[in-house]
Formats: sequence, structure tokens, C-alpha cells
Amino acid sequence: MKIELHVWRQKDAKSSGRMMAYPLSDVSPEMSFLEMLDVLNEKLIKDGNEPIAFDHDCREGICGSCDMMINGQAHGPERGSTACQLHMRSFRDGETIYVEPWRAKPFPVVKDLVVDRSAFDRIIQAGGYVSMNTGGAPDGNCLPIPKLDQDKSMDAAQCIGCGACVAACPNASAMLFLSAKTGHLGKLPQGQTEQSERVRNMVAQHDREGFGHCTLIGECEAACPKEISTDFITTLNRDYLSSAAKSVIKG
Amino acid sequence: MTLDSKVPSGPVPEKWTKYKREQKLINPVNKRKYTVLVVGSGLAGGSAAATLAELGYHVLCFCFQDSPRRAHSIAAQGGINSAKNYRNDGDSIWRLFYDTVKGGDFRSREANVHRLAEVSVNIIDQCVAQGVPFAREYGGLLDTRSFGGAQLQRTFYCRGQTGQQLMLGAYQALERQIALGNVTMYPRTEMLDLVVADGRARGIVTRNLISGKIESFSGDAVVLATGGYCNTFYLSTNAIGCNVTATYRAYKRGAFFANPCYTQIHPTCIPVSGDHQSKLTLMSESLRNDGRIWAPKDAGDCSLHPNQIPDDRRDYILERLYPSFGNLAPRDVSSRAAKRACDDGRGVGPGARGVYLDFADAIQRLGKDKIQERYGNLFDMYERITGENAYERPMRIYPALHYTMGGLWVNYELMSNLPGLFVIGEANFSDHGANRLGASALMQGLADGYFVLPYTLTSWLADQKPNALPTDHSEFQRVEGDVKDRIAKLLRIKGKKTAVDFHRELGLIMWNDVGMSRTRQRCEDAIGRIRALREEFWANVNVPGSGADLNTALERAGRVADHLEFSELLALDALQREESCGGHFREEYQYPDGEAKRDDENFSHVAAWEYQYGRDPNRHREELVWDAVHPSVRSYK
Amino acid sequence: MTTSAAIHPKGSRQTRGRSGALAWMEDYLASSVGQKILVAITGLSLAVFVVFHMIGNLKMFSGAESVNRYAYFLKHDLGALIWVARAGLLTGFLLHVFIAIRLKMRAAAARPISYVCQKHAQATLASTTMIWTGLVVGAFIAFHLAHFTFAWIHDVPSSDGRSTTNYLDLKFALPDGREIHNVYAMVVSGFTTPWIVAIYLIAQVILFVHLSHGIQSALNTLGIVGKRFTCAAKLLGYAVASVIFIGNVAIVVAVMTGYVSEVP
Ligand SMILES: Cc1cc2nc3c(=O)[nH]c(=O)nc-3n(C[C@H](O)[C@H](O)[C@H](O)COP(=O)(O)OP(=O)(O)OC[C@H]3O[C@@H](n4cnc5c(N)ncnc54)[C@H](O)[C@@H]3O)c2cc1C
Ligand code: HEM
Ligand code: HEM
Ligand code: SF4
Ligand code: F3S
Ligand code: FES
Repeated sequence: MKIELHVWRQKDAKSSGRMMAYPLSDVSPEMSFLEMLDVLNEKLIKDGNEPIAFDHDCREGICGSCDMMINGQAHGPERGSTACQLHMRSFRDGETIYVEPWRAKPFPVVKDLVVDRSAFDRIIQAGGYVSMNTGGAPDGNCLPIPKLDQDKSMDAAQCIGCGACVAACPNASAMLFLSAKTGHLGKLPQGQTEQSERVRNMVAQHDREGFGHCTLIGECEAACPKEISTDFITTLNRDYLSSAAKSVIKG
Repeated sequence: MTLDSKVPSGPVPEKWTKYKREQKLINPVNKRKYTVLVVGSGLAGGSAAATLAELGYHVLCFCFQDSPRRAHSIAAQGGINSAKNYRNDGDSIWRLFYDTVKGGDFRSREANVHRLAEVSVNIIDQCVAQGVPFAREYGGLLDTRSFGGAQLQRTFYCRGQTGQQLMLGAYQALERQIALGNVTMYPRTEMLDLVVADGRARGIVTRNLISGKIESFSGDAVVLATGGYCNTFYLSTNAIGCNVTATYRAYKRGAFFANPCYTQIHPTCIPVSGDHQSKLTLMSESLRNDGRIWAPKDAGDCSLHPNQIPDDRRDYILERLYPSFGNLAPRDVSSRAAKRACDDGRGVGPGARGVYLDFADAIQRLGKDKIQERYGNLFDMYERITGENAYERPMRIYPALHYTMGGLWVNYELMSNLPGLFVIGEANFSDHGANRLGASALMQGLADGYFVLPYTLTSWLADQKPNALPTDHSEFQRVEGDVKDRIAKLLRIKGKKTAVDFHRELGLIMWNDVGMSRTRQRCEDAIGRIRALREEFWANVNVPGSGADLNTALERAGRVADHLEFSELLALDALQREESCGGHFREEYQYPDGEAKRDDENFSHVAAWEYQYGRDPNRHREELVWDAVHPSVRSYK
Repeated sequence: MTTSAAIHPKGSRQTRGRSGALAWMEDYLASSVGQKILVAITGLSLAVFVVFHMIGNLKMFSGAESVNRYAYFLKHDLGALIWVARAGLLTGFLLHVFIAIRLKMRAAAARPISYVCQKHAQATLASTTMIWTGLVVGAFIAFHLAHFTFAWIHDVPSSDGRSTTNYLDLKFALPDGREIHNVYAMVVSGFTTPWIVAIYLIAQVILFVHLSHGIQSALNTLGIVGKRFTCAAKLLGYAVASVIFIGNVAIVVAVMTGYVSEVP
């Protein structure tokens, strides 16, 4: 099949970028989207040009490296899938495809489609863990956890930290990412102990990084490759209120 | 030079206890004075960096991805073994130890494996406490399942994303230490060389992948946790970025590389669909719990729709060959059986490289809902990649390269022959012998990082004064110079082919000649062709751009250059190990029924290769000692 | 490189819960979630006001005396209370507007470069236009106050067409002989002028849109809905928004069509 690719090219963080057009013929529908970009890059290199830089690693939808807006949708048109899991059979022959980097102030473009997502790491640093040192853990079975809680926790824990939620949210809010972590830990007794501090600190860091707020638009949920539900944002809000209340009561 | 494995004396089950009793300690105030460089943030590196920082060491941690959470460990699906015996099905530390040694075809070091089985119990406790959401039963207790090669249900799992959840547990512990200021994290930083001064590992030289800056880091100890070298074969189930650079560079600086020919093929991968293929996707082996593997009995049936082939014209390969293990036979055994069927012309799908994995019976027995609950995400993944619905027609699977048991040689303390250089996780060679059992790589990575290295490193450092060299020391300057020269050289060639072209060619050589089954002839051929390809690479590769910014082509070229050198060592090791064992199958050494024929008389040893400048590497041996178990024929009939 | 102290001398970088009311406000109310909670609380209170306001206005259907008495009750019998209520309403309104606009500006700053191509997958129009529908509703309120409360917009023409009476001077004689403000006549007069009617009707549509997303969003913000109730929240949002819409439009339409008129 034939396609026309429009890709954002930007030399480095300081330069300004622009969309460049690359017509491609003989694309196979069996190719993954990234393999299509590989083919283009090989061509670019052979012509002595720099290849399009993009982040990728596992190519099976779990590492969260790949990040691109494809035709105006984070990770492309397919629901519950990352860019690397997208195959060319999802596109029409002759289609024009726009590829852009995630756009958010806390995710500055590093080059072409590569952005800096270290803000996510810093949000986790603010409290996305259980404070325990190695060793000294009680037996794994001494704390029974209802299967339903466990399942719910796992639903949230699946977040791959890709940033698609931010990219898709009209407010560039990272609430889905944040609430996935607080939802994962908050559902478990191990994580409950610190939940109050956790939500406050993580939200504070979220704001410091410059992400927007959430107004329940729901685009994040649609873009999330792990289909994490916005219900976790609601749960986060509830935890936040209870954190505020606790803080009043306990001083 | 003799290789001293430093295994403590005494009966095998008591060695680790004895080691811990006798290990030297460092007082908490003094720990702060030691700097430890941890290269790699996967299960092994991440857990080690976090734990060492908790103990009080000053830790610097490096990874090439943009966040430590993205290390390749995140991709592991199936599960993690532990000798908890929650099932009351007869499991014990001894049994896990024995199964792992036997699974490794009696080519691993007993003492290491026993220690692994011992700490496997702590890993589960540790991870639960961290908030890893392991699957549970309705009673609220932990669930387990059985996994390739084990008759016990000792595998703990988190849906199909066990590696991810364990990885996030380690990542979170690491981020906590970063927040506390105990670890300094260097993401998007690739280690390009090891600095050795006075015979001791002193630090590393890295390239900042964003700014291109070449930098030196110095420490009291260097820990390599950089994963395996599957990508030497180009197509594998590993992430695109996995590379041999760190371990190969260490090898070139004097660390011994052990058993590079031990590579594992995974039986349940999605077959190749065309030339554009950039990697292969693994589907968890757990699928084999309920799926049945078959190929048409008659080559003529291969082009039919699978559902049109009646049961009596199907050959349920593994059930026929290995009645007691059936579809759960170990990976190497299963992979070769599938390959043999394809070699007989009975393969299905594009290029006739595939056999069926059929769920029709399981769906009938358990219902579609149950199957969906167990494997839903795998079925989805399969459909996304192939466009086929596996609830309705059987999956097509084919073996692919998946794990590498070989790695840098380490002693019982996980230290290589270079003092100060520790190697953990998939990057070392120690625990899996010639073949790794399912769900035990995660176990090993975490065992090394959480529970072994923190003891052994402390014990070693206790004898050293804290004295990291300054990075303007002449040896650092020299190595930095080497690294810069190499990059400049790559950028100067401006040939006609891309690094990926070379990588793909190398992969073909490796898969065809040094892949699932090997012969003397083919290994020798491969070595010749690898040398030629390497020469062509240095004359004809095209790396555009400069070294002073983010240059993905340059990163790839550097890694391919190392694969091109390392692959020769792998082939050489395969050539010189004149027996079949585990993942290493030499066609000359097999029983009439096609089973691997081990040669305990001559090859019950670890081959540890020493780099020699301008000459063939030196093959050292570490004889394996069998105190606790006695090598037997590994039969799964 | 030096081997610096491993445990950071200043200790943990995270903030512990601080004490004191100011610190609490800074910690909780200044964050995006805290601010959002304020928008939700004020928004819901405004919505509650509009519901009661509508119920009061529906007295138009039970005759002039009924509305006029009600209005008189609110303004005179309640005494100072009405001023308390008005002050509360005004503060709520100003807070709502101020914080909502500030949040929106922060959100806009979080995406300095917009996409060349962007498609929404499941966002409703209402959810992406909250700020605009909000501003329109705000403008309407200003107009509405000018219209009825301050009576700056429009006067009632006398029957001979020569002079006009200000809305506020319309009087209604109670059976006991007291004269009170004739709200009934004011409303009827207001809604017989086509362009004013148009403004009201459009405003009701926009208000409906604002509330249809606003109420469910507010419930979420307050953490009141969970998995099972998400759907319920949505329904509740649409239901309240519809009731307000229907009630208000009914009054305007009834006057316009003459169903409710000057001479009962
Ligand atoms: C698809 C798949 C499924 C698997 N499933 C299972 C399973 O179910 N059960 C099981 O037990 N095992 C499984 N395995 C194996 C297991 O995942 C790996 O063996 C294990 O995770 C390796 O961990 P590691 O920490 O040693 O290395 P990795 O996780 O590979 O980490 C390597 C780290 O080193 C860094 N690094 C590498 N090179 C450099 C360099 N030059 N400079 C700087 N940093 C560098 C990387 O950034 C990364 O952080 C699976 C493997 C694959 C491929
Ligand atoms: C000038 C007037 C107004 C403006 C500018 C405005 C703006 C907004 C905005 C932008 C939001 C979205 C929340 C956010 O982005 O933070 C919002 C929410 C809301 N508004 Fe308004 N609004 C106005 C008036 C009103 C009025 C009069 C009502 C009630 C009748 C109201 C009820 C609500 C409700 C219930 C919400 C939901 C709060 C939430 O999302 O949590 N608003 N408003
Ligand atoms: C279409 C239906 C409406 C009618 C008939 C109506 C009628 C009135 C009348 C008659 C008054 C003046 C009362 C008096 O001064 O005695 C009034 C005041 C007011 N109305 Fe409305 N209104 C309507 C809709 C709305 C809406 C939708 C809002 C808000 C979004 C609103 C907000 C107000 C406010 C804030 C006041 C001032 C209250 C006060 O003085 O304390 N009204 N309305
Ligand atoms: S919540 Fe979903 S979209 Fe957001 S980072 Fe996690 S996986 Fe990606
Ligand atoms: S799209 Fe944005 S507004 Fe909230 S629900 Fe999702 S973060
Ligand atoms: S490359 Fe790993 S998720 Fe896409």
C-alpha cells in the first residue's frame, strides 16, 4: 500500500520544528507502525539524512517507550494499543498520516518525536511506593487480600507510564497516570498506610511539573493503551478529600 | 590463571548460611563513603541499586532508556518461581534447587542454585510487602500456577504481566531512594566501556544519549546488570535496545565471558511475517498449560484451514513424544520438536515456519470465559499482530531466541575475575546452566539484587578502603579517548549500508548456523562469515549525523559493532563445546531418537573465555563439582 | 568525583503534613485537585440556587399574587438573611469564575504548542467547552441582573405608548391594600420583547450544556461516584440540567405565547 507520512522534525530541544512530508510506497499491511518508520529511516540513512528519532524498545506494548500522536490520536486509532502494537492494516491505502510528538509543557521535545518524560519519574518519587526496605517483610500469605481488591489494584497497576493520557487530555493533565499509581497502592492494605500523604505529595508534584487539571473529559481513558478507567481519578479525588479531612483532624 | 569460584565449604544446603555467618560487615557510617556504580535498572540492577542505597552506600545507577522503569525486565509475562509450597504439593527448597539444576542440564554451579532456591522464598514476601499485586484466590491468599518444566504449581504471577509488576516494585523502591538522595539516576546514559586500573574495575565511561557527552564515573565497585545478548541474533523476543555492549566491553577489558553458546529458544512465539520484521513477540509459556501443540501428520494437509483437519490427521507432537510432561515439556525440548516438524515439511503459515497451538479442547472443557480470564490479553495480542482470532482457529507458533544463559563469569560472590566488577541478573552466567526453566530468570534477577549482592558486595568492600579514583586519572582519560575514537571512526565511514542491514545479516548467520541446532561445520562457517561481515561493516556502514546530540543511528551502529565481535565468541564456544546440553544442541551429539547427548566426562565444566588482543581468546575451565546431586540423563519422557 | 554523604543531610525531599490553617490551605486548596474541588462545590451550590430559583419562578403559573408575595417574602420578610444569602451567592459565583478561569489558564499553559491534527475519541462537546459555556452563562447572569434586578435594560411602555414605566416602579396591590413590587408584570413584560426572549432561550441552552457536564464532573471531583455510580452521576447530571432547562424555558415560552399574560 501507499501512504503519505507527515512527521514532526525538530533538531533539538532549542530549535523549532516543522512537519515534513514523506511519501512511502510498498508498505505492507502486516508491518507494525514502527516497522514502517524503520523502513523509512533506513531509506533516509541511505540517502545520507538523519533518521527520524523516536522512542521505542520492547515493541510489544509493555515498556511504555513508544509515544507518538498518530493522526491526532495518542498511539493511533486503535483502542487499547500502543503505537508499537499498531499495524499498518489499520490504515487505508493512500491515507495521509500525521505523526507528532506528545505535546505538553512538562514533556519538552528532545528531538523529532522524542520527548522528555522524566516528570513522571518525579511524580513517582513524590510517593508512588510503599516505604519499606528490603528484608523484614512478613510472609506473603499473612495478609489476605480480597480477590476483588487485588483485581482492582492490578487494573491500575498495569499503567506503562507512556504519557498518552497527558498527550490526549485537552488540559494536558497527568491525572490518569497519577491516579493509576495511587489506585494501585491504595487498594492494597500495604499501600493504605501512606495513602493520605501519598496523594497529597504526588498531586503537589504533578502541579509543580506544570500539568493541567482534570475536568473529566475522558480522552485519557480512550487513549490509554491499558484502558485504565477514569474511575481511578474519582477515587484519587476521594482519597484527596479524605487526606485533607484527616489533616484537619490530626492537625 | 585458575578460576576460584569461592564456594564456601560444607554441605550444599548450608553454604549460604555459613557464608552469611562469616561475612564481613561495614558499619553504617562507613558505608556512606563507598560509591557503587550500578549499570542497568532492570530487575537485577533496580533491586540492587535500591537495596544498596537502603543500606547506606552511595549509589549511581545507569540505564539507556528514558526511565529506569522501562528496562527489558518489564516485558516478562509468565511468572516467578518460589519454593513457598503454599499448595502443599510437595515443593521445597531442595526440590526447586534440584529442578533448576536438572533443568539446566547439570551445567550450573550447585551452590549458586541452592542459594537461589533458598532466597526465592524471601522474594515473594518482599514483593508482596512492596505492593506487587500478585494474583490471589477467593480466600485472599496467593495463587500459583504451574509453568514449563515443573510438575508443581510454584509459579506466582500477576495476570500476564508478572515482569512488569515486579519491575515496578523494584522501580518504585529505586525512585524512593532517588527521592531520598541516596541514588543518583542517570537515564539515557549508555555505558560504552569499563575502566580497569591495576587489575581492578574502577569505573565506567558513558555516553549521554541526549547531549552526546562522553563522561567518566568512578566508584569503589562496578555492578553490571545489563541483561542478555539475545539480540546478537537480530530477531529475538528481547527489546530492540538490549545489547551486549556493556558485558562485551568488560570482556575486552579482562573480565571472562562464560558459556556464551548457552542460548535459549522459546517455543511459543508468533512466527515471522516478512522481511520488515524487527523483533519477535513471545506469548507466555503459560499458554501451554491449556493449549495443545500439533502439526499436520501429512505435509499435504498444511495448506488446509486447521479446523478442517480431523483429529486423526493431527500429530500432537509433544504429547506423543513426552507422555508424562506432554505440552509442558521444557523449552529446548519443545522448541526442537517443533522445528523438526517444520523441517519435515509439516510447518504451517507463511514460509511454513509454524506449528499450531490449539485451545479448542480447553475451551470446550473450561468454557470460553475461563480461557479468556486466563489468557485474554495474550489472545488479544495475538490477534493484534496476526489479525487472527485464536478463540476460533488455533494459534500459530514458532520458536525464537529468548534468553541467554551465558554471561560474564562470576564467583559465588557474584564478582567476576576482575576485582570490583560484580555482575548480576541475566548478564552473568551462574544459575541456569545450559538451560533456564520458565519463571526463574525473574527469580534470579531479584535474588541477586535484593538478597545476594547486598551481602557479598558488603563482604568484599569490607576489605577495601573507600578510594574511588578521580576521573582525571590517566586510565580514565585513556578509556575515554578510546571511546571517542571509536565513535569518530563510525561516523567517518559514510558507506552504503545501514547498521540495521548488517545486524539483519548477522542475525541470519547466527540463526541458521549457530541457532537451535549446531554442527562443527556450520560453526566454523559462521565464524568465517562473521569476520567477513565485520570487515565489511567497518568499511561500508553509514552512520549519519554527529556524535554531539541524540543520534539513534549511532547508538545502533555501536551496538551492532559489538554484536559483530561477540557473535564470533559465541560461535567459537559452540564449536568447542563438543556435546549437546540444554540450549546448546550439536547435531553430532545426539541419541538415535534425537535427544541431546551430554558428555559429562569431558564437558562438565564452565568455559570461561579470556580476551587476548590480536589473538584467539583463551578458554579457561571451571570444573563443576557435584556434591548434592548426581548428573543424570535429563529425560522428560 | 567525590564520594558524598549517602543519606542526604537534609533528609527526605518530600513534604510532611504541615500544621496550621494557612499551611493546610496552601497544601490542599492551592493544588489542582483542591482548586477543582472548590470549583465543584461552588458550581454545585450555584446549581442548587438555580434549581430553587426556578421553583420560585414557577409560581408565575399560579398567578400574580403568588409570585409577588413570594418575592416580597424573600426581600423583606427575610430581613438581613437575604443579604447573607446574596453575599454567599456572590462569593460562590466569583470564586467559581475566578478559579475556573485560573485553572483553565494553567491548563492552556500546559500545552503551549497545539497539535497539527487532533481528534477526540470520546470527549463530549460539553466537556471540552466548559470555559466557553461558563463565560456565556456568566454574561447572561450579568445581563439578567441588569434586566430584572437593576432594570436598566428595558422599560414597560404605557398603554398609550407615550411614556414608559421602570420595572422597579411596577406596583401590585394586595387584597389588604399594601402595595408591593409587581414582579409578575415585570417578567411578563420582559418576555414579550423578542430579542430579550432570544437571549434567555439561548442562555438556557448554554446553561444546560454547562450543567450537563458540570454536575457529573463535580460529583466525580468530590469523589462521590465510583464504578457503579458513574452512570448514575451522568444520569443525575443530565436530569438536573434538563429540569432546570425545562422549568426555565416553560416560563419564557408561557409568557411569549400568552399562556401567562398581564391580565390573568
Ligand atoms: C518476552 C520475555 C518474557 C519473559 N518472561 C519471563 C518469565 O515469565 N519469567 C522469567 O522468570 N523470566 C522471563 N523472561 C526473562 C527475564 O525477563 C529476563 O531474563 C530478566 O528480566 C533480565 O533482567 P535483568 O535485570 O538482568 O536485565 P534487563 O531487565 O534486561 O535490564 C538491563 C538493564 O541494563 C541497562 N543497560 C543495558 N545495556 C546498557 C548499557 N550499555 N549502558 C547502560 N545501561 C545498559 C538497560 O537500560 C536496563 O536497565 C522473559 C524475557 C522476555 C524477553
Ligand atoms: C462566568 C460564569 C461561569 C464560568 C466562567 C464557569 C466556568 C466553569 C468551568 C471552566 C468549569 C469546568 C471546571 C474546570 O475547568 O475547572 C465549570 C464547572 C462547573 N460549573 Fe461553571 N462557570 C460559570 C458559571 C456557572 C454557573 C452559573 C453554574 C451553576 C448554575 C455553574 C456550575 C458549574 C458546575 C456544577 C461545574 C462542575 C464543577 C466540576 O467540574 O467539578 N457554573 N464552570
Ligand atoms: C428564565 C427564567 C428566569 C426567570 C423568569 C428569572 C426571574 C428572575 C427575577 C424576576 C429576578 C428578580 C427578583 C427580584 O428582584 O425580585 C431574578 C433574579 C435573579 N436571577 Fe433569575 N430568572 C430566571 C433565570 C435565571 C437563571 C438561569 C439564573 C442563573 C444562572 C438566574 C439568576 C438570578 C440571580 C443571580 C438573581 C438575583 C437574585 C437576587 O437579587 O438576590 N436567573 N430572576
Ligand atoms: S495511565 Fe495509561 S496512558 Fe497514562 S501513562 Fe499510564 S498507561 Fe499510559
Ligand atoms: S482527558 Fe483530561 S480532563 Fe481528566 S478525564 Fe482525562 S485527565
Ligand atoms: S515500544 Fe514498548 S510499549 Fe511500545
